[in-house]
Amino acid sequence: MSNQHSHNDDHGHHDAHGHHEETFISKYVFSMDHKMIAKQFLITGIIMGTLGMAMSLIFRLQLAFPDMKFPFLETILGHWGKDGKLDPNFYLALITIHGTIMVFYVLTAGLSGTFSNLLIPLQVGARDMASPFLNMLSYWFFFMSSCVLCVSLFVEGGPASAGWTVYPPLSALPKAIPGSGTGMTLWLVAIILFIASALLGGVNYITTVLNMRTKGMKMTRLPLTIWAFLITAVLGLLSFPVLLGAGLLLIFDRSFGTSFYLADIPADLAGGIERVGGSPILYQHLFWFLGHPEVYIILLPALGITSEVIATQSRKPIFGYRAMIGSILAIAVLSFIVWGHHMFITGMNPFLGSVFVLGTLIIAVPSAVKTFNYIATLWKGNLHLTPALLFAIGLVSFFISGGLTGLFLGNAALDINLHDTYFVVAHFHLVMGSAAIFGMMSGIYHWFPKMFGKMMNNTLGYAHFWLTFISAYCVFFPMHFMGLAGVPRRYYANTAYDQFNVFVDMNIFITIAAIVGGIAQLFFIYNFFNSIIRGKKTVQNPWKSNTLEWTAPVEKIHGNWPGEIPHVYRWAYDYSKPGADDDFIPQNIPDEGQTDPLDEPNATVFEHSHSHSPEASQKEVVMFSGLKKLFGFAKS
Amino acid sequence: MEHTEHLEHTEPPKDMKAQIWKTFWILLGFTIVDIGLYFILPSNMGKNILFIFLGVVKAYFIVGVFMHMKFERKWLPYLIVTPMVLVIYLITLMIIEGGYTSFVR
Amino acid sequence: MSNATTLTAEKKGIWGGGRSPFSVSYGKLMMWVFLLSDAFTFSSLLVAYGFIRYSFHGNTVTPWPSPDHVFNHFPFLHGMHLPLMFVSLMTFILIFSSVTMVLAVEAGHRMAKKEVANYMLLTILGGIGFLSCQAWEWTQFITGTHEGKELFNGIIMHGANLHSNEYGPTAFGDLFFIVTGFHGFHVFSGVMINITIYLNVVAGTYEKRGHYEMVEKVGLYWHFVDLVWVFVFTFYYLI
Repeated sequence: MSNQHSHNDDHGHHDAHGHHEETFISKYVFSMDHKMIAKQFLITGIIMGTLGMAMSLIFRLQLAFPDMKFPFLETILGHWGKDGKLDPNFYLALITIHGTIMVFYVLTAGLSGTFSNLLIPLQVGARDMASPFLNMLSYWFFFMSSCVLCVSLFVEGGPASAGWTVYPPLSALPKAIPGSGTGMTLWLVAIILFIASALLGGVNYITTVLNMRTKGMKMTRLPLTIWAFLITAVLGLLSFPVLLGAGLLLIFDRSFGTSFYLADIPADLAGGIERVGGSPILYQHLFWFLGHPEVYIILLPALGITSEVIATQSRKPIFGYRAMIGSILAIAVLSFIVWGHHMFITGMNPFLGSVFVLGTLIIAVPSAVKTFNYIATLWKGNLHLTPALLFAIGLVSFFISGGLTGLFLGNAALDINLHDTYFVVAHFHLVMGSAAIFGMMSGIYHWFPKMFGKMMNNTLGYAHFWLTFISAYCVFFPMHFMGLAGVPRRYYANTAYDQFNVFVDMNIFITIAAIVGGIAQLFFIYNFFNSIIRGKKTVQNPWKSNTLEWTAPVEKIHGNWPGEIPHVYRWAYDYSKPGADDDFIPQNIPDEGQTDPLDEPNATVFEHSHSHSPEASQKEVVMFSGLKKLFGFAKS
Repeated sequence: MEHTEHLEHTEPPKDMKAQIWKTFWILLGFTIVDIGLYFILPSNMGKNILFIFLGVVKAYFIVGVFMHMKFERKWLPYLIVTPMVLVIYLITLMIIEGGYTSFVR
Repeated sequence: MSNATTLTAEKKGIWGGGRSPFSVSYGKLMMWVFLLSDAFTFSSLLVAYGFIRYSFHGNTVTPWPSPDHVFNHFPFLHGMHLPLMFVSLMTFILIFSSVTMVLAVEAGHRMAKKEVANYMLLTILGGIGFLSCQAWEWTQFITGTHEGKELFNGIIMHGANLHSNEYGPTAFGDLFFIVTGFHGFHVFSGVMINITIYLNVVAGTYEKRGHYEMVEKVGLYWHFVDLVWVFVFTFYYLI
């Protein structure tokens, strides 16, 4: 091992990169520095997110005003918006691409790609990812994938239109609907590139967390963000390959005339070849074996970010650290064994249905543990209501209100009524869409100083939060009622059915709220790019946070720390510790007499529940220690 | 790229070569047993389960000796082998589901 | 310090950071983790196989064919009924190339460059041998029997393609092509990687580096390919 470079110490990775003059290309484009790759992921994610949001506004407009003409649609969509009317086929394409972009490109790559890359090496105390090269490759696969998806918007027949789950036979027969042609093929290519990117990233994240922690960074001292990213990477690593297999078979069905997913399709419908013997349900099983863990691939990083932000900004140790880890692990395991609850009405074996119901309902337990731990952490904290904390609290709110409807949908008997209605749309947009977006926003506001060395504008941040929060509830909450009344999702115009005419006003209300929400995001985008250029310079540790990334200097250097990597002497949540001089003690500060990082810091019993309110009554202390036993596994 | 960290390799046994060849003969033996059983036993579920069991035994030898898993620290096998439970779950469910498909067809 | 105390101190620090908890380098850990995910890819294909195969359970119109009536050829022994013999030979070749691979790794531990190179060469030859056998097997499968089978529309079908085959359900041929094809693709990539590593060994790259860890890593991949074949053999040919 070469020790010629000052900062090439105990971790093996190639550093040679940082030591010759960097060109523009090697610094900003084909960068191998995890911080730059994180920014690339984030900005690509924001661009894709804007695109996805714009699509949702277009189809919301159609749903609210199915009979009106909007001449600007012809301007931007060409023949898909002839005379200002949205083409029904293009409506299907829009919802498909909106779903794909939001689920995969924004909330998988944009969220976990950004923050795993930024935070894993910084928070575990590593110079860079285990393999910076594979990390770079991961981004460029993602970039190619985004390009292919964008290109698919312009092909003949339009982009893929089979819904983001691309069930066969719509996706398997190129002549089924206009969007089943080239657009569908490109969708599959894009997703396979995306899988390659996710796998390369995941392999790297896991290896870095397990192998490259700095001295003293025990697994039980890792910030919860890192736990969340680690488990997310494991989920991705185990579930994306199954989608790869499913996609491969689908490509064969589409392009080479096999019949894995096609049962009894006569030759004249299937491109001249009769298809017998397959089963479309097989595809759905394989897809949802990815699809359900995918929900947690989206959600867990957001929850990890929330844990960190809530603890830091309420100046309190996270409540029930070990219970948090335990519930992340439980959610991860459960997420792999419940995929069938997306398929209750497909005609799958009812016996399996009952297995899936049981598993699904059990997920409520670890989710509730997490929610209550967040609330308990906020309880009587010294809240610094920065935009980051507001977004984190917003996540908790969405997680509760969206999660509760999950209990409805997890029951096979109720799901028969609610399947594919707006109830489902409301459920997953709240619990997975809004919650994860809020986690992402929280992370951006919190770590923006780390990423760009500048502060974001708080006023715009507050405006962004309140507008987004209110409009998100206004958009998705009324959908529950529509769903309960049986309005199906993915329909071009609900007014074609008399019984749904009562919802005309509600649809208009939702669309107006959605437009307000869209405008709110412009505040964010302006704030984001403006702050990069003109923002106030930040100090090294603006939030007075404990975690290791804030011990690194503001100036970005390849290798993160100029000198030796700091050693870690304590867990990440020593906020407001009684007897300490400051209300935070960074992880790299040893306690008096603590010489070996592996030793535990001095055992001071900290009753964090009332560290800021010494007058807290005895009753509350008793209540809290009871709660602690319930959810906290009492860290003594 | 390839500078190893100060890794105290859990050294493989001294007679590694002998172990390798032993494993080879075991694998060969199991394959021959497989083929023998294929012709001897009648086709039924029990035979299939036996074949899968023999496959897992062979996998144990390949992973354990050839891939060095037997000589690694115990956490690595846990990390790699535990997720296979999910595959078993998936396969079991899908075989039940496949049977149901034939039932409803 | 006695040996026992070192051991406890050692044990305590395994997960303490600053070192690998598994005592493997990041590259090897990465390879393991990648193989884990690849195992899931193969599993998804085998799951599809299991599902479709079971959905033909009790189907009397197009029953799932018995492998010993399909894979019963052997090169140069034309017209003889020799079920499973050729695929056993393929299995033997692959297992043997695994042995030479692990011997190369073992020689790498002793820094015996020449031995490593020789064993690597044998492994590559084994891989090419396996691929050639697979090519022959596919040819037999695609060409089919002389008699063929009359399909319901009166056309006599010889052998197999992705749309139909003379042996049984369409899915039988499709799954054969995709499962063995995907495995063959892995073998092919393995051979390509092995050739690269072999050239590096001969050029003395790893000699200079001071260890042959790269050989271990490709070794892991190669054994994994062998491992997958064990299950393909079990599920496709035996059951």
